[in-house]
Formats: sequence, C-alpha cells, structure tokens
Amino acid sequence: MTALQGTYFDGSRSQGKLGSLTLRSVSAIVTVEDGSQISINLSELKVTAPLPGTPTRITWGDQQSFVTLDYEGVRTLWRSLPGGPGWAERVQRRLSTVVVALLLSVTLLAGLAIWGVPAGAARLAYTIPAEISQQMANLTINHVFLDLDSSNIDTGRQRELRRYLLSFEKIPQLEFRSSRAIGANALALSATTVVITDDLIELAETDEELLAVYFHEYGHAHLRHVEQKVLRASAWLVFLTVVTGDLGGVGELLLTIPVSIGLSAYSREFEREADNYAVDRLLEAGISPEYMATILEKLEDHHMARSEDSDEESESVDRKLSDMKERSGNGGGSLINYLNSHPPTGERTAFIRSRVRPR
Amino acid sequence: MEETTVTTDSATQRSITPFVFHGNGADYFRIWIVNLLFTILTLGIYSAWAKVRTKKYFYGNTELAGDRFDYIASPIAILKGRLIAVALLLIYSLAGAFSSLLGFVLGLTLFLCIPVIVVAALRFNANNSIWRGVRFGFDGSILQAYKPYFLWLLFALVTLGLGYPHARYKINQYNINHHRFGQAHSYSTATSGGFYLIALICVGAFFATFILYFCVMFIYGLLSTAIGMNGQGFLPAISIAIFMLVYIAIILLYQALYFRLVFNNIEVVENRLRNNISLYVYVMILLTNFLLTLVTLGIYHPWAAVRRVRYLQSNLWIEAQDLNAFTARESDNIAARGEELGEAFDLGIGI
Repeated sequence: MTALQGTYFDGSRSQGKLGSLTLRSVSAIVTVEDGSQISINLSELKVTAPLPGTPTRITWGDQQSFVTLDYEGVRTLWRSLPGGPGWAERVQRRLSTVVVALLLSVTLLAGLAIWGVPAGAARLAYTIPAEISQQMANLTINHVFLDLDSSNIDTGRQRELRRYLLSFEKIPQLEFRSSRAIGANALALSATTVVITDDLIELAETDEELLAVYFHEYGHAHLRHVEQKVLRASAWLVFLTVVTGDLGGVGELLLTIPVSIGLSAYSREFEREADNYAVDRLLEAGISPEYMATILEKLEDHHMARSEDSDEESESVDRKLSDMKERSGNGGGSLINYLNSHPPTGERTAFIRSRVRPR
Repeated sequence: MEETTVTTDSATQRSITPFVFHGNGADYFRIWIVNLLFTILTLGIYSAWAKVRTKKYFYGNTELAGDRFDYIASPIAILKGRLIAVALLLIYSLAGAFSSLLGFVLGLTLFLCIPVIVVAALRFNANNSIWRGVRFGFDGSILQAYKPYFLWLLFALVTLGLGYPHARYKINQYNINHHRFGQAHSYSTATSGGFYLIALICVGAFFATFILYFCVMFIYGLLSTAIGMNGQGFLPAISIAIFMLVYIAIILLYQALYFRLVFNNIEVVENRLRNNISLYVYVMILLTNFLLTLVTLGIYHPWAAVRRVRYLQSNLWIEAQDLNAFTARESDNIAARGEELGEAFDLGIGI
C-alpha cells in the first residue's frame, strides 16, 4: 500500500514531526522527517473510527500517535486491521443510506409520538397504586393556580348532592370547592379525586346536568387520564434528555415546544374519551345525554361572559391567574384557556346528541 | 501538515495564531442523522457513542497552528455515567411522587452534590481533550469547588442576586485556573467588574425592552379605544411573539458577552487567548439558527451548530509566544460519571 502522510507525536511534547506511515505484513513503520524509523507491532495499533473531514489518530504504546488527514488511506489501512469500519461509518458514507436514515428517523420519531408514548403511558397508568394517585391529587388541590376555597353551598344541599352522585359511581374523594380563578368548572385531579366548583353547581339547573359532568370527570379518573399525562410528560423528558444529550443550548429549548403542543393535542383526545364514557354511563342509567349537551353550552356561555368581564375590569379578580399565565392583559383568558384544552363545544354537543338515540 | 497564516504582531512581540474551523453542515448532518437514528433504534444506548462522535467531529475540525484538536473519550465510560444519571433521575422523580418531603430531601442532597458533579465533569472533559498528542487536564479539588459552586452561589442568593456576578466571577476563576494543557496551567485575567458589566447590560436591555413594549401597548390601547375597538386584535398577539423573541435575544446576548469576556482573558504561559466576537452578529446567528431549526423541525440543527462554531472560531486567536514547548503530564483514566450527571441535570458546564 502507499504511505499515509501525517504528523508523529511522541505524546510528551507538543512539537510534532512530519512523517509517513507504511504497513508491512506484521508491523507498521513510521518514518519521520529526520529519517529515523519507528516499527510498531500491528496488534498494538489502535485506530479511532474516522469521521469525514477530521484527522484520524493512530495510537500505540505509551501515548505515541500518528495523525493523518488521509481519510481514504485510513479506510484502506483499516481493512488490514481487526474490527474495521462500523455501521455508523457505512451508513454515513453514502448519500442514499443517509437519506434512508433521515426518513427512518422521522418515521420512528413520529411513530413514537403518535403511538409509542401514549400506548406505554396507558399501560403503565393502571399500575400506579392508589396512594400515589391520592398524593398527586393532594399536590394539585392546594395549587395556587386553582385558588380553591371551601364551598359556600349549604351543607344540606352538599350532602344531598354527594349522596346522589356517589349512588351512581363511587370515588374515594369528591370535593365541592369555590374558586374565583377557574369559575364554573369540574376537575379530575387523579384516579382518586374529582372537584366540582360552587359556580358550576349554581350554573346547573338540574341534578342530571351535574351527574353528566360528574360522569365526564369520573371518566377521566377511571381511565387514569391524569396519570397518563404525567407519564407521557416524563417519558418525553427522559427521551429528550437521551436523544438530545448532544444538542445543548437553544436546541433543547426548541425541542420542548413540540412537546407542549403534543400534550395539548393529547388532552383533547382525553376529553373525547371522557365524553364518550359519560354518555355511555348516562344511557346505562336511563338518563338522556341531552343534559350533558345543555350543561356544556351553559359552560361555554359562562366562560365567554367571564372573558368579557375580565376585559372590562382588568384590575380585579382574574388578575392573579392572568399574571401567572403571562396574559397580555387584554382578557380573553378564561375562554381561550377552556378552548385550548377541550375540543370545540359545537363538536362535542353534536357528538353527544348523535348518541341520544343510539343506532 | 498544512500551515496556517502566522503573522507577527510587532507591538506585543507575539505572533497571532488564529483558530481555523474546517467543518461543514453537510458533513455534520451525515454524522448527526446516523447518531439520531442509532440512538432511537438502541433506545438511547448509542447516545454515548453519538456524543463522542459529535465532539470528535467538532474538535477534529478545529485547527490551531497547523494541528487539529481531538476528543478521545471512551463511549463506554460515558454510557456508565448516563445510566447512573438516568437511575438517579428516576429515583428522584419517583420519590417526589411518593412523598414531597422525601423528594425535597433528595433534591437538597443532589444540590449539595453539584460541586462534586461539576469537578468530575470538568476533569473528564479536559482529560479527553488533546492537541498535538498532549492532553488537557483539570486538577481543581472537590473541596475547593464548594467555595465557588456552593458558598458564593449561596452569597448570591442571600444578597438577592446582587452578588451573582461576583459568584460567576469566582466560578470562572475556579474553572479556568485549574485547567492545564500538559503541565502548563491556564489562568483567567477576567475581573469581577467585567461580570457586573455583563449583568448591567443584560438587565438594562431587559428593562429598556419592557418599557418600550409597555409604551407601544399603551399607545395602541389609546388608539383602539379612540377608534372604538375592544382591544383585541392583531398587535397584541404579534407583540407577545416579538417580546418573547427579544427575551430570547437577551439570553443570547448574555451568552455572547460571557464568551467575549471569558475568552479574552485566558492565558497559558504568555500565550493569550483573544477574540473579537461582534455581539450583534453573534446574537443574530444564534437567533436565526433558532428560528430556522424551529421551522425545519430540527433538520437544520447540524448547519446551525456548524455555523455558530465557525463564527466563534474565525474570531478567536492566540497571541502566541511558543506553542511548541508544552510537555505532557502522566495522565490517569478518569471515569465519565461526573460529566454525564452534569448533562442529565442540565448544569450547563463548559468553558
């Protein structure tokens, strides 16, 4: 073979010597510019995997090295050495395999996002013990965001409503709370806990409407939606840490954006599941799903009104929430927030009404 | 080997030796996409090899005085570190779910361990960096690291952030002064005032933008009230986007100022590191990199990374006195654990 041209370093001084490396049957000979020669046993040679455009270091013994930029020469040399080029070198060498790698990466990432992570989270969510679910709910219920206060509803009415709702389906923790921050709302905090706000109880004209909401939230709890969301978020975090370990800086900032978009898409899918579950249970109990459609419409009107209120009196009640969520100060928060996490109300009511008379 | 242009600066009696970057986006894309694919296929295991290949590409394309740098870490050592880091993260997040007290205690312990992780990371990275066959090294002790990375940061906290630039100064002193190339130590000539100036510029830029934003919104509010619109419209929406962009730009400005300060003040035995990074150009490069990577869903990343490094290196040089006389020190193998812990917990270490 022809000689590789490069620089010889003895490993102790930063002064290199120009030279060449030639391969014999059992040894390699390095000839430096002053004419002296170094003979190295082939079994002693270590060649790092060459990357295009970068020098290859051939090392032996006590930190001695020969550095060359002759990429093709090193590839030839490599064939005579045990090991040889790895898979990475083979793939990145040809344009065709690079394109295949790109397409495969995109497909795999999309598959993981659309199918892999949700399926894994759904499976794992059911293995979470009730104590952890309860702990999760405890953390959320005290969150300053929600601003939950004790209920102002008459205790007799509370007891009656609780008995009514729980007679259809039991859940370890059903809370009635008042909240200025979230208005008329109901929340599933985990598999163990459902919260219904005073405003919602007042907004509903019949107990059947409240039952419809309860079934929807119970659906979230029963299907472990909160647990699934947490698992999905942590899966992405671990995944991104591993995959983007080398990106650094702005790259990481960037990669969190699709994740948050992805998570809000997931939450719409959960809303549909919970709607579907609630309609099933209402039909089962012999109650018309129409109640669900009417309460949803009332909720939308309610949040629309709240948005307009906060436009006019921007100094008042919604301030804490809007400060925390970095609102622009021009209102619209309550409605936008509601619409972001839920499918359009028209779509939901249309679906519910389509099931009033089951096919 | 190829010889770079070496000019003599008569005023300082030193020769100007520039850094030259040879990498290009297309080559790095090939390496990066293979890294990404293999990492996915091996469920993350390959990420250790990917890291070495990435660093090798950037080091190997960096030329100083005719010779390239090299990164020679063992992927297996990095893999071990990553596995430990993932295990710790898992324990930490599970503990947090079980009991917030346990999570807090573990978090605090982890916080107390930061200096240990930092030192291990700096040592590993330095020990695996090589130029002209001579290794870099880091020999700061863990005990010494607690001063800048714990006490001075605590001081910054107690002084409500007023002491933070001084803490950064102490951290920089510690990092730079304990690095060595072969047997020659580097030292930093940056002053505490330099770090305060950076903080002042960034805080000033932030408030200036905020006031400007407020004024624009105020005028818009007046106008729309006069016309009779209800304040909802195109400008508020787009101004949030602009405000966020400015916010990111200020973070990038901080990075640029920091780089400029630190890399104008490193000396290794009469050899001085110098740069003349233009703040405007560098911030614009980072900002357009960010936007292009966003628009291309990440595909632009390799070009962005190369573009950034090329700009930095084409404006970085050494006022060299003698780059041939460095001698190596007996080096020992350092386990990779520290560095990977640092990365998993995103400490953003690096000089």
